[in-house]
Amino acid sequence: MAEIAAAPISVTAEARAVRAGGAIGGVPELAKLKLSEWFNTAKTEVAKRIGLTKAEAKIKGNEQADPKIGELGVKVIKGVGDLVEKRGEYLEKSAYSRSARATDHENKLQALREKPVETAKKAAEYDIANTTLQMLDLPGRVGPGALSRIEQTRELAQRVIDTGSEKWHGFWAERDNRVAERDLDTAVKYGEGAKATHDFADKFEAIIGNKDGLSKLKESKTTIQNEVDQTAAVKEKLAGQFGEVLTKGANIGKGGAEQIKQQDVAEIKKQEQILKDVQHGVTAAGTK
Amino acid sequence: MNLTDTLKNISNVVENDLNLTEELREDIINLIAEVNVDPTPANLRVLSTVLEKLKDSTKYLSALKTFSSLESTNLST
Repeated sequence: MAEIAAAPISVTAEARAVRAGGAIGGVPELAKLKLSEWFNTAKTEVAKRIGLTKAEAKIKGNEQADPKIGELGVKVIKGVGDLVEKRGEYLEKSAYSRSARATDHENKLQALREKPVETAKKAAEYDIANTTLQMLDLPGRVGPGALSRIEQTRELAQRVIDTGSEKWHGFWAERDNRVAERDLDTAVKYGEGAKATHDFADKFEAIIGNKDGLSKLKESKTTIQNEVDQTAAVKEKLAGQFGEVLTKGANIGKGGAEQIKQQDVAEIKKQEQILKDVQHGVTAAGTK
Repeated sequence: MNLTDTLKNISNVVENDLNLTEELREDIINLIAEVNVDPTPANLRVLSTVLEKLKDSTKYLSALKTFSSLESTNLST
């Protein structure tokens, strides 16, 4: 246990599972497994080792025992089974949850290790934004005492920038990174709040700034209504015309066919004449 | 230590085991009490089987708990 507690912070969830498997002992093959595999194997192993079903059968097969005691024994065995299942599920979920948190934590820390300067700068930017908010006395500002924290964070950021990332490795870098991470989280939270306030203020300002917006809106509505009415009138008129066309359709059909036929003949003749003229033209040009 | 004392001791241990549900604790204590009244070899075998499985399951849950605790320990370092 002491060995594990003293291990480096950067160990992965899988590495912890490997060590935990070994630390529990009695099931040495678990030492090489990942978290999910560990639980699956452990459950199978335990099911075999505990052997509650066999125990139940053994009690039931003990015919010389007092029936009341036999029944009570079976009841306890079933109760033990339920307890193991429920408690096991809880512990398994709990381990997964912790593992996920640990991985997330390690990823964040790794990001901080890789980019301490950028992270500190970002924290400072958020805090400067909050300071501005305070100066303007806008709602959603950070609480009392924030200014000193802002100053501290800004100093830290400046120190990191001045010193350079090379000098921020090792234990001290981790410690300062943790401080920066915490401040960054807080700053992000405040920053988001401030952004939301700004957005609201922008919208509000837009509404207030446009004093005759409402009357314009009413005018627009009237215009649109007029357009709608006009469109309806036009449609109605078109519908009437269409009705007339339908009524007269039969008459057009009766006399129209012959007329179209005559028109087609005239058109064909006209085209033939044009073709002849073109041919003459071409011939004439060729003889020149 | 005679049988009655032994059973009484086991009963006390079970009563103080907070890892067990209240219902389970009561059932086990009742079983011990019944066996104490009529401690025939067959009845004692039933009790023995139950206690053995109780011990095995407790070991299993302790192992899982240890594993979960290890995750916490690492998180807090």
